[in-house]
Amino acid sequence: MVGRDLGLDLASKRTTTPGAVVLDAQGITAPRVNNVSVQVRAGEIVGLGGLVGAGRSELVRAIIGADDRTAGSVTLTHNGKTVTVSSYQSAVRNGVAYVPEERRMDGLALSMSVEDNIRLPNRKELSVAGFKIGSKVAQVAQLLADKVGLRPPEIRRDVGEYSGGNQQKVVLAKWLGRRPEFIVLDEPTRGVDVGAKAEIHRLVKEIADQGTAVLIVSSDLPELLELSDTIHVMRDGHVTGTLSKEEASEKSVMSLASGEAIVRSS
Amino acid sequence: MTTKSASAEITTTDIGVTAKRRLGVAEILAWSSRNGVFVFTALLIIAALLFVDGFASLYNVTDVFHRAAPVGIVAVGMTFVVISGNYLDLSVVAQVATAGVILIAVSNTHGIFIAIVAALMAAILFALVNGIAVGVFKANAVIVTLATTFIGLGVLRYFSGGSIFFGPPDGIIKAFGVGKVGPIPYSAIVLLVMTILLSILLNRTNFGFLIRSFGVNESATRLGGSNTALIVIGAFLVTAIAAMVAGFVLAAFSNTAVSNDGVGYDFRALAAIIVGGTSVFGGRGSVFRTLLGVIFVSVLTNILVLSGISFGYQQIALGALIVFAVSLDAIGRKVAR
Amino acid sequence: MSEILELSDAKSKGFLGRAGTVIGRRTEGRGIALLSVILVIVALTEPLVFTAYSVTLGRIALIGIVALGLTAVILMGELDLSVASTLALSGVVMASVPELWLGILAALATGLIVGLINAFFVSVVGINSFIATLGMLFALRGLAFVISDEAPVSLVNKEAGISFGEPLIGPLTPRVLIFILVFIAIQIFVSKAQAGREFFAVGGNRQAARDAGIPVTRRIVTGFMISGFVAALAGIINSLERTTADPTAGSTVLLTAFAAAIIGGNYLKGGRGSIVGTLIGAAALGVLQVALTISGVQIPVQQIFIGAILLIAVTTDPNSLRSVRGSIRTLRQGRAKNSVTT
Repeated sequence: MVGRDLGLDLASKRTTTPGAVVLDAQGITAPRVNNVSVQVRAGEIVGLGGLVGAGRSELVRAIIGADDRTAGSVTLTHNGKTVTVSSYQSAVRNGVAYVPEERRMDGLALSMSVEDNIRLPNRKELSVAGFKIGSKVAQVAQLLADKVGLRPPEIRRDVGEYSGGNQQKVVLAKWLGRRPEFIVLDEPTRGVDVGAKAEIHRLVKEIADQGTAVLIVSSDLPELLELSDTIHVMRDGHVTGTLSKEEASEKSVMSLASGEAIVRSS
Repeated sequence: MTTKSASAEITTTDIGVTAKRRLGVAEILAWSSRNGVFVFTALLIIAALLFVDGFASLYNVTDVFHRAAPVGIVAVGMTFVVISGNYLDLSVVAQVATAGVILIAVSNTHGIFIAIVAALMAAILFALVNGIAVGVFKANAVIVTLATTFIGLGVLRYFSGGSIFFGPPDGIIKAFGVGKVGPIPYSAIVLLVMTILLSILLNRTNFGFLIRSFGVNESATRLGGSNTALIVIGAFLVTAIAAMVAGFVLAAFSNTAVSNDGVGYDFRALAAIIVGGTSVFGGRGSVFRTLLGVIFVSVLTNILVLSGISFGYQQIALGALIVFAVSLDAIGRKVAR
Repeated sequence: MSEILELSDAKSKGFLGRAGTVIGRRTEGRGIALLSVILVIVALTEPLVFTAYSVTLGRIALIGIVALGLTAVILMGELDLSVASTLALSGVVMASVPELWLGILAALATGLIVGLINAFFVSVVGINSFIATLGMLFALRGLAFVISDEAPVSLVNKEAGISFGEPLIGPLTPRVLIFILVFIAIQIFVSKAQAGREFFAVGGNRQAARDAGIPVTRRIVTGFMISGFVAALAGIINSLERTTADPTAGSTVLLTAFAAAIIGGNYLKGGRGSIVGTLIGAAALGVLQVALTISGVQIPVQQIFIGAILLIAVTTDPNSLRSVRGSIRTLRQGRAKNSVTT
């Protein structure tokens, strides 16, 4: 079959220690990003903290190729094979998933159905010779919608009619079935109600447990602290410090974010 | 297709879906901009049957379809460009004439097969220039296709010298132009076949899906891992092929071709598309609706002609129609937010 | 390859490098470049263009008048495609009124009314100006056909038309004088008048302009009325000089005027541009057109030239080039270090 194996049985595997390095970004330079290097391992959740305007969104977009970078290299390693990530398209083809900051502008086609939105990145796998396999699309979309807890799970409804939390779940759903090697989440619970927020957190942890390398940008400190195994704090386009799970606290993150103290990465 | 309700993203219900829609002026406007064509076409045909002399004859009706075919074929093809959010392709004016001239002129010297291949190459060239300028350089489609129209017409007039070309006297082209299946002319059958094929392309293939998705949200489509330049080029390619086929059909009518043959195809096709309910803002629409729009515009034009109304009034009518239909759409969208 | 659009140190480059930077940075840069190239080529191949400067100036004037009106609209991020038909319609209106001055007034009024209608659809109804003015382009052409009975209309007062073509001040014909006046008027409006300067703000960020208290709708109305009025002027001039009004006139001028405005550095998305730039663009294209005509190049080929220039102009503005650079860079990165692919 062309493309990726769409994993529909998403039962969690329990992995507590991160595996090998999956994403290796070196010397990323772009507008508002100054020579930053990041590594994420399989099953690891790396958080990016910092104040608004620190360059976190710009960094992750430059890493996956959604925006152009002026310098730096990005490689993706999976099953022993290493691939250079150049364009966004090749990134997606090689197992990268991206949940953008602005879900209404970049993440979803609001006047299209949930089913159509889920189909978008999976279209090649859900078609034969370019022709849509309608039953398969419906089946996969329904499964994924149920998996993420879309309420009500009506895949024919326009995505624009759902609440922010549900919309964000649809964004996750469209990537989940691909069992991505690496996923970037930019402010995944902004504008999301409390109930959906908890569900999304659960989903993110599950994704990591299955071996996906997760890079998350969040201005929500409790969320960042709860989810991340490691936190890089950014300011003015470069990393001011790196905090392990033990070192990380609201205080340490904020002081690094505002530039009060420079902590050498451990 | 559902109407958007007028509320924002705030969840007020526990099932997480926004408030139900109300039946207000906005909703009526929005509905009529999208579905009005069905009603209006039916009304128009009824009015024509009752009030216009000469309309209700088999000859006239088949003639309407016969004449509608070339514009209709262009319109169903151009629907792809409109749905992709790129407004329209003005260069169909040059493309239709180019295809016709190439077909007729080259058939005379090299036979029809080579002629078709040559015309296909010209169509691909148009599509590439338009598609790359709009898809890669992200230039405005209206200006780009305005420019390519002039370039195309200039090239055509230069090589053809503005003269009329006559096709082979007993050739396939002539036979096609007058052929019928029962009362239905070949041209109408081509229109129908094209409509069905393009509808399948738009609704059942990944390519068509990407076109629709691109028209709704370009950024999300790109972030879904697709090559947006190819999508745009594809849309212009569909239009180019359709314009080529239309040029063939048109040339077959009279077994002649001249560089002016495409005049008016841009706004007539656009009028048909917009009247059919496809939104000029992109994302929403269908090929069958365009076909219905073609019927409406053709019947309207036929009524005007039969009533002795001059070409000038027809143009006014079509221009006003375009503006009116788009206004309905715009108002409908505005209030739905 | 020199990155013309990078903010590099100009002093470190040679003459060509610095020229490249100027072209890239200044709004009118491309216009100046094109004009220089054309002037040089024409001086070498067809110097008659300069000796017969009245013809050349006349051509520049016609293109320029329409282009200047278009620029007012483009600065706000809109388009006015209907100018071609407004031109034709005004000419026909003027010719259809027996009294010369009454006809001129009627024609000018036509232009203003067209502008109002355009502005209405764009700002009140909220249609994209491309489509609104496109529909008007078709509809007005139809109206011109109806009024003129589908045939060119001869002027009643032919002597007026002929004397209009005679030079008035020095070598300058009325057409050129009107053009100069229009240029001065619009340039002052856009650079000195409060309302005019707000055009840039409306084009740059409409919502921000509204928030800043700028009466956006009123500005859009003004812009389209300028464009319509000026197109009517062009129609009057055109009909006077030919002593007949042609209902099919205007399409080539439309193309050329757009090319002039875009070459002059006016961003189609609005917010940035230059009236002087349009003047330069009109000059470049006017000289080119006259040179081509004098060299005996046929009309179809001239249209190919202008079309090609418009196409190149609209695909080489900084926005477009930036997207292309991005795509090329991505391709290059991918190809250079392609290790194992899955």
